[in-house]
Amino acid sequence: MNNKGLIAELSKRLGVTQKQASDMLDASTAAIVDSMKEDTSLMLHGFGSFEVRKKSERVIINPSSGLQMNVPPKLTLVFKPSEKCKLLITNC
Amino acid sequence: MDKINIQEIIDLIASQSKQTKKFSEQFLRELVEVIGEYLQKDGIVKVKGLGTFKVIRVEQRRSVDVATGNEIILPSHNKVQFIPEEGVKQQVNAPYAHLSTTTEEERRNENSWSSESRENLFSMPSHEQESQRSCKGEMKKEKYLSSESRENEISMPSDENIHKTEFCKEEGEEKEEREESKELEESEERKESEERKGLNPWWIVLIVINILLIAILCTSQYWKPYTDKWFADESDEFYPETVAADESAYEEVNVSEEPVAADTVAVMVDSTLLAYQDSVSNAEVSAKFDIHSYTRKMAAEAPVREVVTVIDGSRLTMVAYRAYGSKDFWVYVYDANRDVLRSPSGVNKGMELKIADLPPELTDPDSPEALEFARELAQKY
Repeated sequence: MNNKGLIAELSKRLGVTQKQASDMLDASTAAIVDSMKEDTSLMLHGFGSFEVRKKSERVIINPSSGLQMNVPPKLTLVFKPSEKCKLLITNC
Repeated sequence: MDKINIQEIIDLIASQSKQTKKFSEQFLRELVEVIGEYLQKDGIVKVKGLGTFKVIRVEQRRSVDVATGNEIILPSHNKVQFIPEEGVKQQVNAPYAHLSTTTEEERRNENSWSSESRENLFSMPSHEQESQRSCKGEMKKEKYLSSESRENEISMPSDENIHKTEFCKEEGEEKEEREESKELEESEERKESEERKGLNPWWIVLIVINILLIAILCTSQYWKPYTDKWFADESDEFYPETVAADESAYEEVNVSEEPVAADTVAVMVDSTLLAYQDSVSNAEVSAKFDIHSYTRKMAAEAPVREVVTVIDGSRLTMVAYRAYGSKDFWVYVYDANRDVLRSPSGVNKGMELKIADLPPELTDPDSPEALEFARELAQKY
């Protein structure tokens, strides 16, 4: 399902226009990402949790040139599905 | 890590979308439900501004029960994979955004210098080098003292020095005595071994020692005028403040001693001497150069000191580090090469970059003021 379908589905369920649903979706995602930037974790009940994890730096070797490269540490957004969500997708 | 609760996020959404909190809560709940539902149905849900949720299948696999050591089979199952959007990735990674992947080669270059860059280093007036040179000069001086004293024909030094030179003389004599006794021993050994074998390696050692002695004798006579001068300067040397005055004298001693060692080295020292003198005169000319009066034009119009070819993976900072002694001075390299470089990051392999000859105040890696100014400049670019 792509973003278009998601907006359509949401507007149908909430009884609002697609424009409103799209604006709301933008606001929600922006709020989630903004809160993530401040080193927090967000738990959405029945779905899962979002949190920021630090991936430490590592050394990789380019297989074609054999050069050793140093990859710097980075922060990534990770999603951890809740038990309910895991159960939901077990048989699909 | 703090936890943000659902109420706070609802408040945030409500304030951003200018909707009621109740509606925001309802929306979030529906959103989560729809994502979960379609994840089950389609296996993939794309949410703009967040990322992609995907269901992926994990096949069954063998494993070992850690507690019992028995082999077990982990059943196949589905799991949710979340791939954040590129924009989200960048926003989250903002604190580390300045870091980039570096190759090991670059790091090696940073630590050990290639012979080429070493030459570059010699032709620039860095503090390190000066200290190195003065060290060298002192070493040479000491060597000189002993050889001179061995000669026992020093021209009268100034009163303050008599003590020191006499002491050195004694030392030199002692050394000679030791050497003589060594020689005696050696010759005795030689005779013995000659009787036994005829020829042996001690011969070579003896010849080498003799040649060295003769060489020292000759050079000390030949360079007598310089040593006289040096001794005159020596009196100043007792006061550590008058370093600058002695500097030139050291250089001369340095150069004069060099031919004994090796011709190639002498050439190198000659060039460094020239470079050094140049920098000294430069420093005199622009003694009161205000670093804040630097403009972009200056670097572009300044005489080109050298042309550096960019090696693979080199960046402006690396070029600056080799040329001026600090990475912060990359702005000057960039300013001097604006005709070739479109942006500070547009450095390609094989490019020929000009290194401008700038006032030493501006490019002194030990001056916090100069470093600060370069960083300020860098901020503007």
